[in-house]
Amino acid sequence: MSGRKQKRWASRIGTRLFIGFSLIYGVFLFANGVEFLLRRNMVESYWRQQMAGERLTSLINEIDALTVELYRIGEDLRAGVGQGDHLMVAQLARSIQERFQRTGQLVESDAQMKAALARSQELFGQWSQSLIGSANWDTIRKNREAFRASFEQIRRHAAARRQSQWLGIERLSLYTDRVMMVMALSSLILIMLLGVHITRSIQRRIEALQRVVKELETGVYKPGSVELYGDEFDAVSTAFDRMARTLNERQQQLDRAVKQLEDVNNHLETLVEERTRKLLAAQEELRRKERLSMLGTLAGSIGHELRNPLTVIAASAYFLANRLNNGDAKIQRHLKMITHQITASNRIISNLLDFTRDKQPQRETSNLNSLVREALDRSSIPRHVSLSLALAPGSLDVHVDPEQIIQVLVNLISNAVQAMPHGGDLRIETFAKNDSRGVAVIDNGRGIRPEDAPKIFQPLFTTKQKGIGLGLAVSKKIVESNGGRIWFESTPGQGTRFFVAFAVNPSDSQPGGDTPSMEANSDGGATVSRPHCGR
Amino acid sequence: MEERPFRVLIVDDEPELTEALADVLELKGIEVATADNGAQALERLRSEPFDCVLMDIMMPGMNGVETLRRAREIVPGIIVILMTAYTVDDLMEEAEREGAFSILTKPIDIPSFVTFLDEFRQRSPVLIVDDDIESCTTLHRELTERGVRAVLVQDVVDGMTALAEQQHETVILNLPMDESTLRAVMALRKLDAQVALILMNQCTQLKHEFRHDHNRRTIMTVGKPFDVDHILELLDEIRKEKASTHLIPGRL
Repeated sequence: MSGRKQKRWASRIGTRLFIGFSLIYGVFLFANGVEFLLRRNMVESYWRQQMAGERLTSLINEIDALTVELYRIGEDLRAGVGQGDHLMVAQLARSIQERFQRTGQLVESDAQMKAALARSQELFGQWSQSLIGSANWDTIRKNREAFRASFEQIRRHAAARRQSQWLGIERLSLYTDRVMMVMALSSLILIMLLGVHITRSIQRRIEALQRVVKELETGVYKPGSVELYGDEFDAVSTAFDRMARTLNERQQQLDRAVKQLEDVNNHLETLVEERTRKLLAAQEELRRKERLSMLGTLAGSIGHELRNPLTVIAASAYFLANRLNNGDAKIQRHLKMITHQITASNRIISNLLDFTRDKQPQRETSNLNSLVREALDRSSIPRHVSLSLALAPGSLDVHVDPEQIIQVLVNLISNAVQAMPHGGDLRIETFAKNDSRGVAVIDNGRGIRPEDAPKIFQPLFTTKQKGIGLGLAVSKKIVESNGGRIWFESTPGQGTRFFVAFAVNPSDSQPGGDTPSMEANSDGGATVSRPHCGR
Repeated sequence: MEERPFRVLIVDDEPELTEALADVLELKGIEVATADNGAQALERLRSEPFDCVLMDIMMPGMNGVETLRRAREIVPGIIVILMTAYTVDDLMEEAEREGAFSILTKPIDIPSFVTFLDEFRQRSPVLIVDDDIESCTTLHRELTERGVRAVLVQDVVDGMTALAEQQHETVILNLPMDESTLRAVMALRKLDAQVALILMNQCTQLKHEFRHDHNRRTIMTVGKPFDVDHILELLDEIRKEKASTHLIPGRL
């Protein structure tokens, strides 16, 4: 398509040039032709006259020379010397007469000349007659003089006429020169005008293209706004326009790409910010953990060290309780208090030690109902708390470390009891859902305040007067290392439900995953403000 | 057969602890000896009979597990209960492999432990019912040499009388393969549903008969000629199963 346009473009500029030049050339040829015709006719006619003039002159000169000869013979005859006779004179006179005749034919068109010639011929006739008749000399001489005078007149006339012919030729050549000059000049002007026109039109188009280029440069060009004049430059303009369109599209693509890049960049920045924030949080967490770990190590060794004395105290208290069997009730009461406090101390130590150490769970298939019963066996439920069990029938097998989960349940039961210092209902339920099995430990105690909810699983957080706040942190750690989830629902003043659930398929539950911990937090936070259902 | 008292050896580098525990056990009429370290404990095991050793794992010098291994070499049938104040997983696992009866975490639950020992003292003697006087004395001797208390009776009626008088954890039956054995097993089970039975023959019929034993009490069979070590392993299993209701293994 573009090739055909280019060809058209070339043929059009060719046509224009061809027409221009052939116009100029036609004018030039025409001028030449006119000049030629003019020259030919005029020169021919002038030339013919010139030739006639020349012949006239030569005839006159011949006549002149013959008359001089005739005069000389006449003189000789008069003096009687020489060989001339009257016959010769007559012959000579006849040939002169004949020349007069021819001259007369030459000057047919010139009446004045013809009359002068006829007069001169007549005078010559008189002179030659007188000479032949051998009239008296004086007559002869008189006739000759008359003839010579008239002939002289003719000679002068012929000379003048020749002169005037030359002048005509000269005028003619001057005229044709002027015509040629005008022709040449007009051609030149025409060419110049044509050149100027072409140059100007080209210049105009180039200027238009320059404008387009400038607009393209500054980016204000609107595709399709280039002017078209229906000439060869349209192809260039169209090409420019096309280029502009392409450039525009490219620009738009580029803009879009830049935009996308910016978006990506922004996204990256937010990602980096987020990552940085997370990293900082992780660092903070790490520092916190380091601190905790140091504290834990210290607390751990203290805890360990306390276990020996506790054993001795426990044994001694047992011994005393047995020995003082019949003793004071107060003493028995105090010994019980000692035993009780040993148990409490030991729980604190156990929680502390559990928190500071990562024990890989020894998971086996365990029945949740059995775990609950075992946990209850190991828990002391005060009299003022009434216990109710709702153990789901059927398979409640989960893949966990039974000892660890019992520990968690003991912990939750202990918390529930402590949440009801003035008595209440402790309810333990086991449940089986599609893909999980779980336990709920439910109390109707004081509940958890919404502002405490997010911190409830954090180590060292406690709302109790006693306690160091490790129970739930340890429970969460244990449950998660067993592949389970722990969360709660609570309504302040009405009670709390703690849930522990495990996926049924053991391969689904990887220990120590992040997800369950987040779920535990978000679930706790999300449900804490929800109105407590069913109570 | 003379009845020696039930004896426990308590080993701990903390003298007050051994003393307090010894006093508690003596309250229940259990004879107690104490040792401050492993070497001393082994020396006592070589020179005196003991039924049970209660020992700390972390002791200066020879630790509890090492002592346990050597103690089992001296008295294969003895039960060794370890206790620990520390969580030393590797040592505890090693101890379990070496045949520790149980590992208790300090502070140990004194009442549970006392109850366990009391019951163990009463139930631990193995009742051997054997109509072949030669083989039964051999078995009795072999077990006693390895520190396992055993009571020997000559026939099923005596066995039932003995079981009625005193609880036995385990009864070893060496009887011919006939209907009488089957009846004997039924009768013993009726007397004590929880009793563990070890049959000294490979009676497939019996096995089949008791496959659907819903009480889930152990019926084990050993081939003749008997392998005492195998019987000891079975006894260990039975004892541990029984003990687990009283002793909470020390898992932290």
